[in-house]
Amino acid sequence: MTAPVGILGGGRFGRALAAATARGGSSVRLWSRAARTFDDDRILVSNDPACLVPCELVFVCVPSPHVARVASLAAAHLDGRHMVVHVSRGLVGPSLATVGETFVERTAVRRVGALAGPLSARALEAGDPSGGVVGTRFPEITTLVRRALSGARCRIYGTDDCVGVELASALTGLVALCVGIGTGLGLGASMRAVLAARGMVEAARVVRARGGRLTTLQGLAGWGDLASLLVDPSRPEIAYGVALGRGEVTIDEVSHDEVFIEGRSLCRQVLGFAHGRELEVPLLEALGAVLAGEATVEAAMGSLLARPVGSEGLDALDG
Amino acid sequence: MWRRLARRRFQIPRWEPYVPKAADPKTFWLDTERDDLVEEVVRRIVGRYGGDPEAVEAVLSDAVYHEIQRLEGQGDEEARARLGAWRALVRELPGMSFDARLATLEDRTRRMGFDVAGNFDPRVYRFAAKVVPTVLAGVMHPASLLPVDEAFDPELRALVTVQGDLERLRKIATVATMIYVPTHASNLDSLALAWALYREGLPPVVYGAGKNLFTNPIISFFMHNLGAYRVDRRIRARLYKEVLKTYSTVLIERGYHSLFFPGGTRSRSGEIERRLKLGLVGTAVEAFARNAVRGRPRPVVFVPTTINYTLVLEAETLISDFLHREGRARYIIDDDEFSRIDRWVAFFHRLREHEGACILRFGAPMDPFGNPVDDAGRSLGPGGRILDPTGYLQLDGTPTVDHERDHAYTEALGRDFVRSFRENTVIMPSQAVGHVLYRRLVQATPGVEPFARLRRKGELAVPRSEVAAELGAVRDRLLDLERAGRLRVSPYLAGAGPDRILDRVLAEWSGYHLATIAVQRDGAIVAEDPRMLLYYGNRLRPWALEVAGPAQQAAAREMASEVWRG
Repeated sequence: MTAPVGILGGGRFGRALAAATARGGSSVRLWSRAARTFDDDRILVSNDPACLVPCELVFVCVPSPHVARVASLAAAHLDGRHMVVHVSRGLVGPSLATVGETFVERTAVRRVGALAGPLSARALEAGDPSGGVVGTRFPEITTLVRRALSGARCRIYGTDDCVGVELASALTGLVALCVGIGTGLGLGASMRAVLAARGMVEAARVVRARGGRLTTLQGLAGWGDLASLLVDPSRPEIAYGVALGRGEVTIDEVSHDEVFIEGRSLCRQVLGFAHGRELEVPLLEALGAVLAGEATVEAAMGSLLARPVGSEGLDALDG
Repeated sequence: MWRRLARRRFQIPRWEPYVPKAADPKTFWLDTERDDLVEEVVRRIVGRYGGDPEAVEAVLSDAVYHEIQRLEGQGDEEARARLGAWRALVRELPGMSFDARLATLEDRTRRMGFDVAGNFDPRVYRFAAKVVPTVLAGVMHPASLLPVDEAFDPELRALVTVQGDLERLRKIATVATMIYVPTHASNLDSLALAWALYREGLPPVVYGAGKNLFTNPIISFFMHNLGAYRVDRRIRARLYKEVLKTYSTVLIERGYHSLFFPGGTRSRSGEIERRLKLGLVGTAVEAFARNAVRGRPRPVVFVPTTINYTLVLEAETLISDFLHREGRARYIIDDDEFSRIDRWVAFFHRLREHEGACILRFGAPMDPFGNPVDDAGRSLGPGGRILDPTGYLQLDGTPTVDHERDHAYTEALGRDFVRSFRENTVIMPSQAVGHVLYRRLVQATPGVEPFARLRRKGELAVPRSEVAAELGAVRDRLLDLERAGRLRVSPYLAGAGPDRILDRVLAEWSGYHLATIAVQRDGAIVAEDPRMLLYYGNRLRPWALEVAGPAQQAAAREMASEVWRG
């Protein structure tokens, strides 16, 4: 008998993964602070992390600011049998530690991976065809994720560039936020595309400095993810960006709290990392100023457009 | 003649084979099991290729190509003896049946296996443990060749200091297979470690050693008889690498304590290893997995170890090699100080007055997955929880052997080793002085291309009082780092005054190295050989910014970012 699949975090994505996994025939152990109910009796919900003990594969679906604390809480119940796959867009601390690295540091788990790409909670819930990529050095993790999501009509690709996938996923979220703001400001398709492409060049500089592969950014975790965000205005990163660009929300409001909280702390961390390594990231600097309340979206966009135009800088990335 | 004699595998004859006793360490079984070990290697490799005709042809073709290329290049006695057989194989291979190819693969694997396999003679082991220190004592005290226990042993004890949790290691060694993974600065490392293990009551180890050591006139006899197996780095054939790795895997599966130098070769620059070659470390991870799959999971415990010298026997050759960018061409150095008896005499003679001239420090032992282990060799998780290490090998509840997975574990382990090496590096007086003087040179030549800087021999003269003051400041910052658990400081560097440290280091250098490294002249310290200052000072490079005061920050940044390889 195969082990149940564990899910750590009862937010929307955690619940969608639980439903999709149960639909594929696996039993699920969901650890959630809040009480959650499901129609499917294969999903067992508990607020005790000990419920994860019999699992092999555990999905981690908590926002990155909580990852270190949650990893420490779960540490007493996880060991070498467990394989942890997270779906977070966040990074931890000023050195841009990934969620996977945080689990390795704080628990006995060594086999970690990241699930990223154009996956959405809605597609998983509805069972619509979708796809994603698992970044991991451990081939058995890819096997188990495919098995868990076999009922979700989800095409899971694999790569061994785990750090690349984690960085690409985090940075693509920030680029999407920038494009969302541009949309809210009324920029046309051309300028929004410029924001997307220049944002991904900045992402590439950070990915490379952090030890990921540039080619990973060109795949599902990077451009694939961004493409899905750009064509779906309901995705949280875009929706929050648009509202910010239109002035419909201010940075003090918490209507999109998870995106805001994660995006702001992530942007701050990335900027600290980039400045320490003298990486050129003007778009992310403008986003950081907006999220920190130091500049209005109009002023930030004005400063970006006032910058001299130079080389695309892609050759430097090849070197 | 010495060299020709040394090439022979010289063993002491025995009327009857040695039958190991129950209390003997596993290594004492090596001679008894030698043939069986090699046959197991042959079985596994032939079994791996056996069902695949294309793979058999590919591996034989690869061996033929690389061996002919190597032997033609060598043009020596070995080439004359072996080249003919490989050339014949080139002609015969295309027309061979599959069975004939398989038989050829078996034959070549067996030959390579016996060429690699080591010997261990308990008589030589006991002899070496008693006599080698006496000989070294003679070198150090030529006038008094006294019995080792009476005169020399206390002195050698003081000369080589061993640090770390020895009691724990002794306990673990009774239940686990120990894998020592030391830093590598000198060919003396394996001798220093082997002697330290003997002295501290830890069982002997088997280890892979460069073939050049087996031809070294000073130590070849011991290499042949103390568990070393031969690694010929000139052989590029894939089959040979498989033989080496499989031999190591089989040894560890059977419980032979082992020693690998994960740096691969001696550090040419004097820096602590940052990039490791983990091929043999991977064999230990695989051995643990294979035993677990068979239901006999014997713990495998890694012990990262640092070996720290105040003087390095081969320093001049190593730094020259590094700077001439000949790393590839001179990967195997067989004509360095290590093969010259006069350099050994000078080396030990110089060290004899200095307590703690070599500090060997065992780091915290860890399992193949980077977890700490307790006295019983059990893996410990966060909070001291006991873990089942076979869990890391399971898929669907069953342990498996998976090379890709184990490769990922091995790489992670390599990062743990690098961290441990840094935390357990013991900074020696010569390294602190080398760092301070080289930093002054950088300060005096800002922005100068690093190789040009090294040509400034004898141009830098710093008032002695300034050198002593900077040395004191560096020492204080090193002690802060030691308190934070970031590195270790040698007792002498920690306790002596800067002036005494400076005098001692200048005396050590001038008494051993052929080149003059630094001298005192008219109240100033003159940097005579920047290469050697770089070599000794490089040990502190990872902490260059942290040990620098505000006035030295710019120079420290320049040192930290110096790029030597083109």
